[in-house]
Amino acid sequence: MKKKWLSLLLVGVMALSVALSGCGGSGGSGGNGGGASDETGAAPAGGGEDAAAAEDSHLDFGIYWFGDDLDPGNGWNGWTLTRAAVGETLVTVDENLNFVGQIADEWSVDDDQVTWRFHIRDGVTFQNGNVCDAEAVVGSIQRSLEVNERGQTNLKLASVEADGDWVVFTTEEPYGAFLANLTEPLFVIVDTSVDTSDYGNHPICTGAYMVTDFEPEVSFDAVAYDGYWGGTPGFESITCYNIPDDNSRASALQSGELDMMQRVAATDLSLFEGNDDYEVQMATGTRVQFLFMNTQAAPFDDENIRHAFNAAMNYDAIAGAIGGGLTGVGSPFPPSASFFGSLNRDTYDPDACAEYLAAAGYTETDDEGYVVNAAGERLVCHILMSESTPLAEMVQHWAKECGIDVEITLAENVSDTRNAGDFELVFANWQTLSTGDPQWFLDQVFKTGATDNYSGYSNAELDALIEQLTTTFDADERMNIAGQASQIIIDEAFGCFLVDVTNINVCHSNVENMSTFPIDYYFLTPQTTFAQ
Amino acid sequence: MYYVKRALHDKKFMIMLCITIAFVLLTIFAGAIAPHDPIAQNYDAILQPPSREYPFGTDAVGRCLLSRLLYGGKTSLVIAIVVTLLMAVIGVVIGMVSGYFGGIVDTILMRVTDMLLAFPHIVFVIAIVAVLGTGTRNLILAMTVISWTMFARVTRSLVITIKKEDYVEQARLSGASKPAIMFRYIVPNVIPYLIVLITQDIGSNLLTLASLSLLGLGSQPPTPEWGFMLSEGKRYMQTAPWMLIFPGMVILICVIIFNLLGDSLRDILDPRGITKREGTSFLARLLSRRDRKEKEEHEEEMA
Amino acid sequence: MLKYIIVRLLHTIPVLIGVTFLTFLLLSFAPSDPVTMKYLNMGVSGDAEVMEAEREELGLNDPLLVRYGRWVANALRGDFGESVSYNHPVAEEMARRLPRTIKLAVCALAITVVFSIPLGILSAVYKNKLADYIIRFLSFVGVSMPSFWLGMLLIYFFAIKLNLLPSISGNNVIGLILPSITLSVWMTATYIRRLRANILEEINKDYVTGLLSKGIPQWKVNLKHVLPNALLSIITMFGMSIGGVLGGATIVETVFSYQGVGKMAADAVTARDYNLIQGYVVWMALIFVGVNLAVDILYRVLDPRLRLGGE
Repeated sequence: MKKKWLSLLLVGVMALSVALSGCGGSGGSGGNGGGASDETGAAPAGGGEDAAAAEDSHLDFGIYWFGDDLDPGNGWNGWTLTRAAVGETLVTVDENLNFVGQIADEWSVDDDQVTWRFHIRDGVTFQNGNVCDAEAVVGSIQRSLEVNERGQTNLKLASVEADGDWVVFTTEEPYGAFLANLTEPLFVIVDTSVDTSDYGNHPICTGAYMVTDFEPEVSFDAVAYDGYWGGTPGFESITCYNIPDDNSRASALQSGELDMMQRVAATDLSLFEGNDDYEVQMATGTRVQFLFMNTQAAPFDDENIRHAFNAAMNYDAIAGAIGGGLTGVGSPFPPSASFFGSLNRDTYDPDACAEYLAAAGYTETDDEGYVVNAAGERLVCHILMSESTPLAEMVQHWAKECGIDVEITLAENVSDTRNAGDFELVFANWQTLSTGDPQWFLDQVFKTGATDNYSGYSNAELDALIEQLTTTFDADERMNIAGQASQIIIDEAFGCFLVDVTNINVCHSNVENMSTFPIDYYFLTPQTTFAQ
Repeated sequence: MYYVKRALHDKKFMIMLCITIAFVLLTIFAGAIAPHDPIAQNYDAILQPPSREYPFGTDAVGRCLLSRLLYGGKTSLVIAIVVTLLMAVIGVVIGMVSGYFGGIVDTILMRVTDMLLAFPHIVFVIAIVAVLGTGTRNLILAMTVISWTMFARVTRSLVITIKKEDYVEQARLSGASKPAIMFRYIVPNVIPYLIVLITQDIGSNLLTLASLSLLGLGSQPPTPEWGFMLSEGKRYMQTAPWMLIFPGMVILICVIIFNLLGDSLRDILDPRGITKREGTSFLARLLSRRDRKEKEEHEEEMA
Repeated sequence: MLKYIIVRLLHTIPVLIGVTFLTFLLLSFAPSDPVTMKYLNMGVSGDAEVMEAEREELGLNDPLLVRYGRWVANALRGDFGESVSYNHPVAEEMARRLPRTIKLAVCALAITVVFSIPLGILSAVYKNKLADYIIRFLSFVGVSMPSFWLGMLLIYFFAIKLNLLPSISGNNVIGLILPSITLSVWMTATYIRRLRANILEEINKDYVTGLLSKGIPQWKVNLKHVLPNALLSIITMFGMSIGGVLGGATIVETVFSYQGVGKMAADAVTARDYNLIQGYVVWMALIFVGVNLAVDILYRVLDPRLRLGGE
């Protein structure tokens, strides 16, 4: 009897404490000063179905990266602002990689090829109500150049000044990539006429939403800016969550915590595709996953080996196995580049691989199926990486099919070792068509002696083409030159270009006008809203 | 011999022993049992759910999960056992020296163990691996360097107790040398307890290993390893849940087996329950230390 | 009592010095120093002579002990250096993330206490009955389970399938439920096993037999003597759990993408952010030592035997 009574009591205590701790917990969090975010956080947890009805136009969306703060001048942090329709640049890049005006509505370059003129759109105001005129833009650009070293590298600017409604830039030398580089979110226009010291938490920009509360690494809240030049934004308020882990982001969308999210892992795509509750959008991205090949050291100092390796890769099978609508590329630029179709790209060709291997002296095969040279040595190459990925294991697999032994070497300090040129193969997942323009990638990676030319690539013809690109201003002509450069890279086998990265975004079907851009630092637009 | 006899008559222990041996044999003879090559990729059978052909399903590049688990057992168990044995050897030597000689050596050694105990182990392993780099060898090294303290503590207290026993006193009075006493009287008395501790620690080291693999500090692919497979399975949690469920189950079962074996061994080798407090892991180790300290204090204060 | 506290405080000093020196020593073996890291971060390889001059200026070429002394002096002023991966002071990053981890740890400990004490008592009271077997079985599974596996299963069932709880833990309390359960399961299981053992051990003690023979009913003895004594050890466990919680937080935070110090430490390893790792280690040591000091004192206050014996 006593025991029964005791056990009842104990269970009661347990239940009571659970109830109490629940209350105590929510009470405690209110005291943390995060009142507003608590409410928004708690609402979607109530369940997915009634969330839509109860929302008075509040959007919860997830992206996969935050910088350390929200100041566009700081690091790459401006990317968060363009993703959330908070910050705007003079000119932006649309879904088809065309330049469209944002704060500027008109622009031109003079015949001297160094003077660029941008007309500032009427009626653009900062989120504090101040008018965003030419003077303000000049102030903001100067700030970007002052606070971030990348600024000057990107613009090669000699001077910038206001001339009535126009902003006039003069570059140090003719620079064809100027316009494209000006779209980089580092040049998000902010109000410099007021105190900018708190821009890490509350940047004052010109976009549709203004930041009200920033919780570093976790989320920020923003409300619609009434004076937005582009009309009434689609939501009254938004919360942007930083969820770096792909699976967590996907499950948060499924559980209704998020209405919309950027980037679905290829492995999770099947959860949303063909499901009426979700809308999936894909766009060929501007990134390519490739391998740097060190041309300064064995074995890839031998062009035959480089070609053999590239011919051993079954690009389409790899893309298919990763899934998510990826395509094999075999070219340094993704299919979103206009010249992609005209390239003679690398393809899977085991016979050609065998020929290249034979030319490099690997004529025999050993018991385990690996090719060996006259001395009986295998062709072994090492991929340096910090953590193995399925992609690496696939590369390993296809190389083995052709008799090349690929070993994965795990190291924590991959970037050091790579930068020191002490590697054979290193993975990279880079924006090759960043800002919609090919020059940055060619400049950084393939020019003789360039900053990121870890592999020691050097080809006079390629250098000349890249130089020519610098002084070419016609968009079509630029792409034409980039195409020629790409072909040289492929013919010289400067790297193994595996697959492109498709940008895949998903929202609940009650979200309307979600946009998916090739460039992944664009996402939310003022037009995105809930269906009526 | 007395223990062996007891063990043979202990039904619970014999059952656990058989299961453990069966489990170990499974991994040793993985090559003969596994239906497929654990490393060969098969692009025609990507992410297949469990079927007759692939009893546990396949992973993202079409490898048979069952085969990988069988082979992976070798890697995981070997690492866990090697770490445990290394820990035991280092810990026992230090504990013996500390307990037998006492004095300043004892004080210094015990302060060092205090320091190492005063710390979340995973944090330290992370720091060590950060400097040394990832890889099986460094992982074993890091885990060992951090965790020998528990063995040192237990050995020390056992030695101190045994040292005071009559037969040891007698041996000393009859002029036996210190090493002789150590090896003839003390070591044999410490070993049974150590066997219990080692068995139980294998389980907890398996768990630690799995956690470290999750953080990306584990072994070298494509060699299969349980923890690594489990963290890989995380990516396919929804689309291919078998990649998450089976490795987790296998780890769970294996840890349970070692823990149960440890429990039944304790009943045989340590009827007084001296090692009982040592439990299965780091937390329990800390507890036991404090408890003993507390007990000692109590005794002193009561006296 | 005051004397005791002072003595204990003094005892913590060598431990702290030891721990910090050990990590300092360890990290001094790291393959790249702050100057190299700085240039890498800027994306340039840097001139060897310039870099050497900078090292000299920063005092990186001084003997280890001198550098350690300087580090301690800075740390005492709250300056733990710059974090390379976050581009701001380590102290700032810690201050931002530590409260999140503490919140998580407190929730986990609360869950542990709430469940382990009643279940531990039940298990002991119903020794070798059905309830005991069930509790023992569950706690056995609890200590043998990889905690992050459990975390993922919880996400799968509660967040995705049942849609009851959020899987990301923004900054609301509901989001803390799953991570803190995950973090607490292992502890709860250990506590239960331990409490049960303690109670059973206490029941068999001489004084209990003595009281029983005096005709005092069993339940009264249990409630008045056995339980308080058994629970006392739980307080000790509490302090000791901190280490496990802080370590476990690394795993749980990674699984739940919770931006606390644990995840930060795991990320810092990949980014080779040594200042951050060092700062983290120091803070964890401080917390551990501090909590244990508090627990020791509390224990001293609560335990009648020690109180009498000590004074």
